[in-house]
Parts: sequence; structure tokens; C-alpha cells
Amino acid sequence: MQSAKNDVGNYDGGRMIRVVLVALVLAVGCKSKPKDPRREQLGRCADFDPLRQPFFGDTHVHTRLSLDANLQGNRLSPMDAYRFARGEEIGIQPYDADGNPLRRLRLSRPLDFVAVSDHAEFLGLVQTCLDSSAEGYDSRTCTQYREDPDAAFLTLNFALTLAQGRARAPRPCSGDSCAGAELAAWDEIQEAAEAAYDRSDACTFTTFVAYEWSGNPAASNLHRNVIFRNHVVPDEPLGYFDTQQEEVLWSRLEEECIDAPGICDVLSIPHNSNLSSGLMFETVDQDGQPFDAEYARLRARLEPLVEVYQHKGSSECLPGSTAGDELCDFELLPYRNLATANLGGAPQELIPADFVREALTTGMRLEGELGINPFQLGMIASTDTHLGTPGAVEEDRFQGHGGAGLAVRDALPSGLPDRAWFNPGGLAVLWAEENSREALFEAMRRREAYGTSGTRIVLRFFGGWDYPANLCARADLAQIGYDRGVPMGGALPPRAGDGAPRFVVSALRDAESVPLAAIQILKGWLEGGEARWRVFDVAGELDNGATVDPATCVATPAGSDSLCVVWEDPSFVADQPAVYYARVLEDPTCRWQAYYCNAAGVDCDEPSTITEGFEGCCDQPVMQRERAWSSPIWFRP
Amino acid sequence: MTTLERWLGHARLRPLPTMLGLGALLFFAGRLRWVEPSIEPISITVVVASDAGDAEVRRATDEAMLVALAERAGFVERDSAIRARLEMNVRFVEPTLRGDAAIAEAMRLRMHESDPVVRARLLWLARETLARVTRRTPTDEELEAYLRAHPDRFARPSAISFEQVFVSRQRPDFEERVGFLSASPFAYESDPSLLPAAMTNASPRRIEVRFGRAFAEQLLNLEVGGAPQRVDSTYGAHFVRVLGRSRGHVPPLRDVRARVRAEWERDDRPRRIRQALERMRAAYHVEIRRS
Repeated sequence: MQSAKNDVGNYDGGRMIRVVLVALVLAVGCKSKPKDPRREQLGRCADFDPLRQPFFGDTHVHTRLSLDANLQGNRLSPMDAYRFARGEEIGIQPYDADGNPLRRLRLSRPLDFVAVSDHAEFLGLVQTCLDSSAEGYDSRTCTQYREDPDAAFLTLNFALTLAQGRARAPRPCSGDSCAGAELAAWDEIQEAAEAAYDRSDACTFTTFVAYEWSGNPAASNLHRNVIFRNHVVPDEPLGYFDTQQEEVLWSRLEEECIDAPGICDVLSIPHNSNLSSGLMFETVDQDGQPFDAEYARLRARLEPLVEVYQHKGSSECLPGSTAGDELCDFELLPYRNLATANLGGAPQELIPADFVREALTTGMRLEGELGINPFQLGMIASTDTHLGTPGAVEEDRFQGHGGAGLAVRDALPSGLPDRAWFNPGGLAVLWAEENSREALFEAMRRREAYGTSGTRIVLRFFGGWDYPANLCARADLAQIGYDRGVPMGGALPPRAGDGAPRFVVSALRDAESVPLAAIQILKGWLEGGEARWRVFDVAGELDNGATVDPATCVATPAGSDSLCVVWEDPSFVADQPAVYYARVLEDPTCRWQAYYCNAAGVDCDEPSTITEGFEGCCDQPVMQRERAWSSPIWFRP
Repeated sequence: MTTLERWLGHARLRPLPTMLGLGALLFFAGRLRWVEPSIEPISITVVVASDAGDAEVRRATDEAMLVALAERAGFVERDSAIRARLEMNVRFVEPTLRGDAAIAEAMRLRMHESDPVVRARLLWLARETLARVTRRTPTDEELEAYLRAHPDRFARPSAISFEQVFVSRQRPDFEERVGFLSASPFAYESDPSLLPAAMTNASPRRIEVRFGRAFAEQLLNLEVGGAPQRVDSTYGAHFVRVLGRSRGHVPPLRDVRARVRAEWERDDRPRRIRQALERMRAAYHVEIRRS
């Protein structure tokens, strides 16, 4: 069943019945039922551009409705999160006894779009446990929730780590009371998304109704953000306790939304494969059976994108596991499951299969066997903020994660605001004709999307067979890019001659960040069934002389405002499936903890300066390279 | 169609929200009756410092009334977090006391007023209760007034249409090229880049995203239809011709009703609590004792 908030239309009737009814109404000259004004068509925005524009946003945001965020002290609502994304200043945790926030935050640059994606599990529990009139308020679960939030964080989240098929929701109450609380929270999510969405032709801000499915068997992260195209959504969100296998989640989303009568549409975006202990991209289903074509079809239909980067690290690649690519050593968490990432502990050995690069070549192999690539994944990034602060990615203003890591619930942090191995997260960028749900959702579906580690690099990536060598010098680069090939996220058109594919990759620096150092193209292919990867340096130079003073974080850049290249694959073999994506790297800048550590006078060579709370200062590199990852382009022989 | 018929029609379409709404109505009705005792004349004594000013006296009075309200509402006995805290406190005095007996002893000793954690929670519960029982649906007139009072929050931004010829600062002959183009820049092509050659009806924020803050700020000062002007950005120099500009405006309520209502509710909440406290002040007999 679907619902549409305040919907006057009836989407549940069959198409034929509606057609007949409309015809009858017209025949007798009566007024038809008013059309739902929220149904959209492309072209309503005043700055519509058929050659598309980059829109920056965050598809992974938690508010006080998420259990873990709430237990860490988050009191912000979905509406607050949207206000923040639009540029308003808000107060964030911790709070004093009078309920006044002790920290304030404002985005220096508002976002274009946001999906608040609170955890579907425990959605009603938070409200039940904080409402003394609720039936389950005095339950043992709720009592622990209020009195010992740290213990509740562990015990409640433990329920999400039980094996698939065995997980049971710890209910603070039974029957309709909790169900009502869940529905109230789901209503709040929808109402906030509707209220904050700019439906005028100014198209200043877009929201999506969303939630997170938080399956986490044996603490292996299988989380997905479920994002709906418009206001027509199922009556209830599906959490891990409802659908404990991701393929069941996709089946139900397909059945209850995409294939149901009406205009419901949805996709799901997996994240943190780096913490999945090999499960996210395994090649057997939950029953241990190898994927079949139906599984591949369903997964490919529901999951066009993967979140390659966020607070809890990068999932792009593992150094040494594929090509000799030292730049894979970027924001790698030293853990491979969610529990240790959150709680800390001895570093664990990382698994190549947990990284997107490995999945891309595995997907091509499966396509050879099944006819469909289940891992044809475009790439985005987001924050996964549990502070309710979408897009708060600036390194020098990082306030912590608010879900995993340190709880800044009761008092201001005396040292670093979070564990040093986390980071501020990234942004999702969508190439769309306009800033509307229709246009942005279509961009996600066709994978014309890319991710950044937080800065606003503009990146275009096209693939084709006969791009002119001087395309970078032409004003009609985008037009030619579309006309003679495909944008990022697509598959190369059938080969016309006997040449190798050509790619044009063009990048523009973030005007408020440092210049660009280099562009690389990463190529993966299958050779005798074996996956191979190679890094091609195609523009700029990493060792360009740019520096950062580690004591002050003042950068001396040497890179370029823009880089562009038309690149022909010199290693192309016509009968080898291949996948290509672009990686753009900025000149170096300081990593977030360096700003705090410098301000506190920490000198890693002088142990006496490493005071309590700043122990993490010397565990992480001072410098980093912000970057962008394009969605891939595939070649099928 | 009568209001009742409209309501019933709406309820038929949305049975679940309606049932929840009915439940909430009944619940709040019960709460309203339950709050009633708090406006009966009640005497409270507020102790403040001898040099306390009016603001401090007022704050202390409000807190005392809220604690009294929470106490009369039974939160001390019913709220499990408060019970646990009070039981813990009482055991320092009477280790054998448990359950209701411990709570009764704690209340006799006025621990719920003196313990800062319990007091903070009682204040929070009382404020939440006041906010809930006084919640109401705003009228259109109220929403219109709110919209007029906060135009900045809901205003559509101004929009600018312009075209530009770009000279990249990466050119070795940057200054010469700028000088060469300055007479009639639109006779020449831009240097290649991902910067758009033109933007139509773009908001200042959108322009900032594409060109950077410095460019967007300078663009605001250019006249429509004037001669091309040089505007500098992080990327280089731009010769810009502004083709049109529309002023920002506040949209009609029908276009932003959902957002106005959400913001109204957020702002109305502290006002409702304030008003409720004022009504309570009138109903309470407050004795101020300076210590």
C-alpha cells in the first residue's frame, strides 16, 4: 500500500478504471477531480538547462528520530535539518539544563538537495520512550533508554547485529501503541520533506522522503538508504526487523512501490561496504546460493549507486589489492565491521572484497555469466551526519559524527570532537536539468552522479568512440559529449570502427578551496576471467610543488583552476569487458584534526603537549588530498 | 458541503491519520481536564537571593510553578527516570526503603525540588505538557500574518540572467588577452571551461555555486542591459552582460503553506508556554521570600 500525505488523488485504482471514469466525467461535462498539484514534469524550474547542471547535496542524514543519534543527544527534527541545509544557523548538542544548545553551526554554502534518512528501525521507540503518556514509557527498554543511554545504545543496536532471519525488535510496548509512534515519525519525515521542498519555479531546494534500512548481521554493515522519487511512498518504512534480507527489501520495494499502481518510485543506496566484512558485495544470496539472473535484475534495478565515501571512511579501494595505487590510502578506517569502527579496538585486517573497485570488476564477471551486471554502480558521497547537519563537511569546522564515535551528549568535548579515524564526510553531486525531484531522481537512476570528499569540484566525464581531440578547447563540450557518447554512469554505445574508446574528463576547482592537482582514470578489466586494474595519470601532476604548513594549515597551492583531457585508452582490447572512472585530486590541505590539534598546541614530537582528549592528534596524517570520484562508464564487447 | 461532510470525506480518504487524530484529541482532552487543578488558586513560596532582580524573580517563579504543576500532575510518582533518581537519593538516608515508600519519603523531604537532575526533568516534562495541551491549528489569517512578519524566511530569491565571456587566469597571456577583449568581448569566444557561458533566471546562491562568492557579489551591482563589465573570479576575468533581473519576492501563502505552518508551530511553541505561564501566574498566589 502506498500513501500520499494529504493526497486528494486516488492512486490505488487501476489504470483502466481511472481512464473510464475520466472519460465519463468528460462526457457529461462535469469537473474532474483536481489533479494532484504535486505531480511533476521536467521544465518547471526557471533555470532549466537541457545540458544539465551540477547540484550538490547530501543523501544520508540522521535526526533525533534515529535511535543512535537520539541517544547521543540529538534533539533536531527533520525540519531543523532541512533549515540547516538551506543555510540557517542552528544549535546542536550538547544542551544545558534549560535546553539551550551549547554549540551553533551554519553552512557557509547551502545545499541544493537533501534526503533525511533516519533509521527505519526503532523509529517509534524514540518517541515512545520520551513520551511519559505512551504505553511503553515505563518498559524496561525505555527505562534503560532514559537512564543509561550508553548501555541502551549497545543493547538496542545489538538487535540489529543478529543473524538475518533471527533479528527481533526489542519492543518497549506491544500492539498499536508502538505502531502508532512509528507511523507518527514516518508522517513527520514526510511532512518535513514536503514543507521544505521548494515547489516554486525558483527551485531553490529539493528534499526527498527517505529512510535507512540498517541490516547489520554480526556487526557487518549492509545498510542502505532508501530514497523515494516523490511524495507517494509506502505506508510504512521497511526496517531490518521487517525484511532481514536485502533481496527481500528490494522485492518489497519493487512490489509495493515501483510496480504498484500510481507514481511511487524508489532506489536504494548501499553505504560503508568497507565495514561489511565481505558481505556487501558477496556473490551468493542470503541462502548461500550463487546469484541468478533474477537476483541480478532486481539488484541492478534497485541499486544504481553506491555511497563511496562518508564519515566512516572511504570504500573506494584498498592499497595493494588491485593496481599499485597509493592514493587508495585515503580515509581508510582501520576496521572492517561497524561495531569496532564505533567502539574502537585493535585494528583489523581489511578485505579487498569490501571495496567498490573490486565490486565493479566482480559485476562485469557476473554479467558474463548472468547477462546482467548486479554491481553496475555509480558513485556518490554523503555525510551520514547524526547531528542533523547535512552538508557540514568543512574540515576546519568539524563537530563530530554524533552517531558512531564520541558522544557529545552531556558536555562539550574537552579535546577532539570525535574519534580521529572518522572524517567530516562528503557530498553527492547530480547532473540534472533543474533542481527538482524529478530531475534529480532521474540523475541518480541513470548514475549521472559523482561524489566528493567534501569540496565542490565540478566534474564531467563522457565516453564515446569519436570525440575530437580538441574537444577540451570547444565551447560545446557537453553537447558533443552527449551527442557522440554517454555521460558518467552509462555504457559505451556499440563500437563503430576499430579504434579504442575515447573519454573526455573535465574538472573545475572549487572556487572556495585549493586548486586541482591531477586527474586520473582508473581502468578495470577482465583478462581470462581475472580482474585487473590500472591507474592512468591523464592530466595535471600530483607532485606539483604545492605544500601545506602543518603548524598553521596555510596552503601554498600550485595546481590548476581547471583540467581537461581527451584520453584514448592505449591498452584497449576489443573483446575484454572494461570499466573506467575518473578521480580528481586537489592540492593538499589539512585534515580536520590538525585544526583542533594546532589550536591546542599539540606537538606530536613532544608527548607532554598531547593532553587528554587530543590523543588522536598523532594517529592520523596531518595532510590530505580532497577529491572527487566520477561514476564509471562501462564497455561491453 | 458542510464542514462536517468535508471532514468526513477527508477522514474516509485518510483513516489512519484520522484515527490517530481522534486519539490525540481524546488524549489532549483528558490532559486538559487534568491540567485544570493547576489554575486553581495555589500558594507557592519562591526563595530568591536578597539582591535578585525582577528577571531573576520571574524566572524563579516560573520554575516553581512548573515544578508544582509537574508534581500535581503526578510526574514525580509516574516518571520512571525520576523515580529511579529519587530512590537512589533516599537510600542514602533510608537504605531499606524501596518503591512507593521511597518516593513518598523523597517527596516528604522535598528531594524532587532540591535534586538538580530531578528538577531539570520535571521542568522539561512540565514545559512539554504545556506545549502539548495548548497546541492548536493556526488560522489562515495567522499564517498570513506570520508570512508577512518573516519575509526573509520565505522570500523567493532574486534571479539574474546573464552571459559572460571568460578569460582564464591560467593563460600565460592573461592580461594581454583581457586587454584585447575589453573593447568588444562578445565578438570573441570564451576560454574553454566548465563555467556556463550564460545562466538564465539564476539565484545569487546558484551563481555562487558555479562561479564563486566573489563573482556572485560583484554581479549583483551590474545594471541590466548595460555595456559588458569585467568581473573577476577565482578562475580569471569575465566580461559580463546582464540580460535581466527579477526582484526577490514573498510568495503567496498557498505556495508555501506547509513550510509556513511548520515554522509557525516552531515559533508558536515558546509563545504558548509563555502565555500559559502568565495565566498560571494569575492563578497562583506567589510569595517571594528573599534570603
